Amino acid sequence: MRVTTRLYRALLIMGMLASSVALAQGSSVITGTVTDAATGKPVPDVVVTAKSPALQGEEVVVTDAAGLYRLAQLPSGEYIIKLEKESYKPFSRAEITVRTDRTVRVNIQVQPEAVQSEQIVVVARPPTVDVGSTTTGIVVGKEFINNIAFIRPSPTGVRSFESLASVAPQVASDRYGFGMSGATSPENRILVDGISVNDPGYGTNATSLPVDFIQEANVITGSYMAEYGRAGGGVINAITKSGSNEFHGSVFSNYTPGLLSPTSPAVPAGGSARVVTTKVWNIADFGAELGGPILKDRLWFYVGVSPSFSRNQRTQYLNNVLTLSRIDGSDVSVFDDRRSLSYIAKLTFLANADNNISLSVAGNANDRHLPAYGNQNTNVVSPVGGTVWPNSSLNASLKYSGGFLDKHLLVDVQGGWFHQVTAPVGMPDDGTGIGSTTGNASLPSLALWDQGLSMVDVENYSPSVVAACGAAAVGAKRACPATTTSSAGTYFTGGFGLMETVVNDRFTGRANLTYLLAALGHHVFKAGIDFERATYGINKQQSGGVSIQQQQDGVSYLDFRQYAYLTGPDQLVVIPKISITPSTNQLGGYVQDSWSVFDLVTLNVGVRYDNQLLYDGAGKLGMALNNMWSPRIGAIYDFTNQGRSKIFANYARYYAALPLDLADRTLSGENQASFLRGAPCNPIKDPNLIHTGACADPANYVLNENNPFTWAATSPSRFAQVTGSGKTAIDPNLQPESKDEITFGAEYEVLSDLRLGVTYTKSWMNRVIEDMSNDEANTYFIGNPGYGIATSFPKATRDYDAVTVVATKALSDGWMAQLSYTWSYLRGNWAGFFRPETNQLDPGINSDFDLKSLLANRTGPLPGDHTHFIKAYAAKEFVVGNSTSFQLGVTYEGSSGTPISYLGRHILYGNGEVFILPRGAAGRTPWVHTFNLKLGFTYRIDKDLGVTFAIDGLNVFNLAAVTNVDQNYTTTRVLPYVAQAGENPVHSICADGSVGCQPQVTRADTGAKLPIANVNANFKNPANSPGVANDAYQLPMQWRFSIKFTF
Amino acid sequence: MKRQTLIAFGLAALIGGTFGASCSYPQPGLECNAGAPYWANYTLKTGSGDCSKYTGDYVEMQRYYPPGATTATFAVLPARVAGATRTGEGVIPDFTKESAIATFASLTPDSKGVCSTTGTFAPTDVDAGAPETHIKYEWSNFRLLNNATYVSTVFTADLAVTVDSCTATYQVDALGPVIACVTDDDCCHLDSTGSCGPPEGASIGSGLQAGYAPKCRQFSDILSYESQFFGTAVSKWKPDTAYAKGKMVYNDSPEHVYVATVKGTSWAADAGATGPKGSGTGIADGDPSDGGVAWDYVNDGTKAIDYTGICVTSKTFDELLK
Repeated sequence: MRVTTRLYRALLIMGMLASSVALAQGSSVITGTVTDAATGKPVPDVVVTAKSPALQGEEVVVTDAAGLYRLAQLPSGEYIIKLEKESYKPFSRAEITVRTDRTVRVNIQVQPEAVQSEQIVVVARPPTVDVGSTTTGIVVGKEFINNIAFIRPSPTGVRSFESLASVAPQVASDRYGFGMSGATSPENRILVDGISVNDPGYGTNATSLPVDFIQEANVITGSYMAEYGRAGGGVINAITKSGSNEFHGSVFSNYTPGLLSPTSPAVPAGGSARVVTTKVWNIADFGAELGGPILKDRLWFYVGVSPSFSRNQRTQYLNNVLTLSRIDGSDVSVFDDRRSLSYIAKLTFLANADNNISLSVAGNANDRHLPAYGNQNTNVVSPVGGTVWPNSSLNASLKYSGGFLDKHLLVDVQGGWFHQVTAPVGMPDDGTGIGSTTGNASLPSLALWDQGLSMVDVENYSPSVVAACGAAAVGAKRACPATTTSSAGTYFTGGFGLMETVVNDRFTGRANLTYLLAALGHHVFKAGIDFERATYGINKQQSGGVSIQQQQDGVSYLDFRQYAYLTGPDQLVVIPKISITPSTNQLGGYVQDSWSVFDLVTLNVGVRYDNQLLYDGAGKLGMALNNMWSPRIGAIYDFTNQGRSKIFANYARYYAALPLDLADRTLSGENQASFLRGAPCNPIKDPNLIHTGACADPANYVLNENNPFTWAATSPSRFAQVTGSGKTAIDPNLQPESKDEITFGAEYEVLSDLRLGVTYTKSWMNRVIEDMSNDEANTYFIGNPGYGIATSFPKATRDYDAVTVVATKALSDGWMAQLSYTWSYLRGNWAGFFRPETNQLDPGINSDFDLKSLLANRTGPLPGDHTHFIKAYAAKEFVVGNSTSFQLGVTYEGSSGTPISYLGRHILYGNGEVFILPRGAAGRTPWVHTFNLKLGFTYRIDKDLGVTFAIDGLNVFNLAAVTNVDQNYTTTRVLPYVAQAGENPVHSICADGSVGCQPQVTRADTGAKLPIANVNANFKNPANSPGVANDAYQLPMQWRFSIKFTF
Repeated sequence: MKRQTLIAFGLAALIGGTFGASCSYPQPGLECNAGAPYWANYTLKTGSGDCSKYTGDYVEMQRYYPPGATTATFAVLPARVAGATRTGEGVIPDFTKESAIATFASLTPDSKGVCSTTGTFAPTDVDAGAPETHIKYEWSNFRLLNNATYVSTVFTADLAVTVDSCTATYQVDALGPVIACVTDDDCCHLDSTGSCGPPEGASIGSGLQAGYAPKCRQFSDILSYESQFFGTAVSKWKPDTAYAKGKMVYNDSPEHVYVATVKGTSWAADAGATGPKGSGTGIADGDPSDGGVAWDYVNDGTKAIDYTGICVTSKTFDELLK
């Protein structure tokens, strides 16, 4: 059939009017050159039509005089393109897979009609190399999710999209998520359909959505363009599913029985008699999702809902610390229960071929209950209650996409609302809360540190256990101490402690313009502005008004945490609760051009501008981060010119946005004041006694000069210690926090669908924002360490170098694989938004640079420095007959260990804050290897209807490598040790096991040398990190059984 | 093409407009604060007797700022006063009058960064010690520089000291934080940016501002009483212990710091060893040879003063305002 070009154009226009040609609204590109197979010359005016299940309709473009075509702004998915032109054979090419934010080149030769008569269908695989960007990272889609076992459920049992990040090279899991390219996870920007779901207070991910609701996730570890910003780490951009003209959906259920999941190895708590084990009891989720038309070609819907449940058994038992044997009959168990309800609802409306609107709501509601063990002995202490953690988040988004000028100009306008209600540290489980005058909220928390207490003094046990613990075997040391010198040796009694409820809101508005221009090649020109306002409404109170800490002498008690201020020397006024709402406004814009220069070289040039203002709890400006100009420039050269290779280089500067925790804690002031009370004050049995009688008698207050917590012997207040009064000063020349990154790499498709790539990444910090004190905690200021008013502090450094080699076999012929090896080097004195040694998460105000007495020995390998990473994934489908198939997926993930340091207790800041020797001097944790397995069986009734049974095995060999060790060399207050030239510092602190050694470490409280008896016997032994229940060893084996009907 | 060009210009104008609308916000200014300890130089103006011989003092201040208040009050307490009121068995003073207390004229400094006081500056006015001594410290013309450029602060004031019948008036010039030194370089090692950077071989600088032109005032110029507030803690002397030359310990009651001038092992406890005692050039207990170790007196207290001076500003308060 011969049809003229003019007729094609007419058909094209008709098609648009008939609205079957829809407006694309993705970010993927298919480009290429069409040449004449006989002459090799470019063929202009070829009509190129793209079709895909992902596309609501078709996309049509026409080749230019150079034979070039470019299908831009496509949603990710699998495409067929058809080429038609008079005097040439019709041509089609299928199975072209493009990913979010990726560009693939598909060059095509068309046959003149004179040569043959039938339509040509080329079966050779189209290229898969992304020739449009320098971005590092990967896009994780359904073939990975369906074929590979790698998703560990979140604590609430949700198989969340965030875990998809784990498969990308240069991604390492950390305490709060997945750190990318040497950065910590709270520095990432996490987007769901373009709207940030980061916790406004801390930067962590605040929304867990099941992968069943996700089309795919673009995991960007670096080298990204100016359209992405406000991140010091990487970006996770999750695209949710949408409805189409056919009804599709699934019903699914997953179940992980505890019976097949062993208990984590027991972790003795540093010589303490208490041992707590965690065992998966069961994890389950089920759900359904459905998408389809409400009005065909006009209005589509997509809905999903999935409840999930997770139950862990926590068992506490007693361990005889003298014989290191478990004491029978001492077990007490409780269930740690978590639930989550995840949901999504989306409407997409196509007003006409060029304009569509989508409205979506997604989120989850979670809760968790951890009861108390319930056996505390009321004769000695006041029993502690349990904890509940309510938490919910909701994301609503309204998006308009329009195309103008024959779709050369595309406009996206989006408004979003993120709402979160959470209790970060939990609340009492007896229903009391902030403001309550009864129950656990009304009783002060009390940390005991008296080394004479036995567990049988503080908890109820059977006579046989009491007998086993009772005999003093070595000196006065008892078999079952409740309190020890180790970090885990504090015994908590009394009320709940710190209670916080937080309501976060974030309003986002953004607009993007995309303009496709042909001039000296092709341009995808993008520009956008976006605005965010986030508020962080926090209520906080100490239960009973104060958290009490018994001192090491066993007879004095400190108001360790108490919201209060002074009106004069020692004239203390308590603040019953703190209720403030700090906020931040961010305004940004970018302009970028992706210029394909005559189809040989692509130049990506862009610049981003951001401004962030942080307001204190009273609404006054607290900090301004001005003029964040982020240049991004990259070049890609495809030396095959067939889309099968690229050599690329990129330079980028990234500015991090600061979460609001800083605006709460330092810009708004956090007034705290305390007295140290000596005998006869004794609130052990009833912590409320701290407010009355002997404890409230100034005659029993301990003078500051006798208080090891302070050096302020001559302060105007003889007794009171105060912190956090008024606003923290800001360096008037404060510069925003930024990172520079350069990347080089190459990628080559060696075989069809098999590509090899190598990437080198180097990044370093320019400026870092931290709080500091010139006068040992009397006054603080916020500045850039090493610059401006903080020149007396060392510069904050985090230098990252990494080489990654990746082999990727895209899914074809029933199998797929991805193999990556990363060598990396991460050195410095600043880990990022949190401090992994103590898990302190206070972005911008962690303790790293706080005091000059903290600064020594801090430079070295950072906790994220795992030198080697190997990640290997492979899956194969075995087809049996027409309707059944089996799937096998195997995973290996291996990483070398993390550095271990000699940490000590700081005189003011507590455990783990002093680096006794240079960071990393105590060696490394061992390698961790994990093998996962997926076995699936699919029965397919027709193309769309089927059922899949699958078994996911996680850590199938139940390997139990040590992932975290006790780094507290001592819990006595000490000074850093600075070795002389030629000295063996490990010997000087007696860490080399030499007999009769006397450590040369100086005690900060007495000035004497550290006695060897005060060295933590548990040092370098497996230990859970602060505040974590089970990270001493890699997580035990889990088997997940799943069934999924798809239609 | 013409239309495309127009659109390109339109986009450029839009983006230019966006960026043009951006502006740079100054950081909020500092509040008048008084947290850091200060070293205060005293310059005698009038008076005679013991109380006119002070060369300076270690001064602590504390600010009181109730949430929501429009301004703050603060207390000033020289260590010499605290030393008299808080030690010994003598008269228990009225601690409400131990510190001098005043109110900042406003919560934020004036346009030059100066915080001054308003109303009465309640003086230190206590009876303390044995024999009982009446101590009165009256402050006036107090001005604290809290310019955002200077994170460390200076203050100036007039001070009238009365100790029983002795009276003296001083000009006070104080600098915080308190930094001990040997040379001027310890107070400020000018780096290429004109800031006080780390001295040669050190990782951190002094924390003082170059604008103060800080200098090291030698202790020889300062009463030993006043220099005892600075130093590094040393361990207590122990019997039967090997001591290298140069090792410092403290011992005796009241405590003194000693340095080993000849290495050796201290006498065993069962030999009746008590360690070095006394002060000054001749160690009083006649046991300069503690076993094989020979000790020299260094200074009073339990901290070794291993530097020779204290950083002071070499500019007057009014010079700093310019």
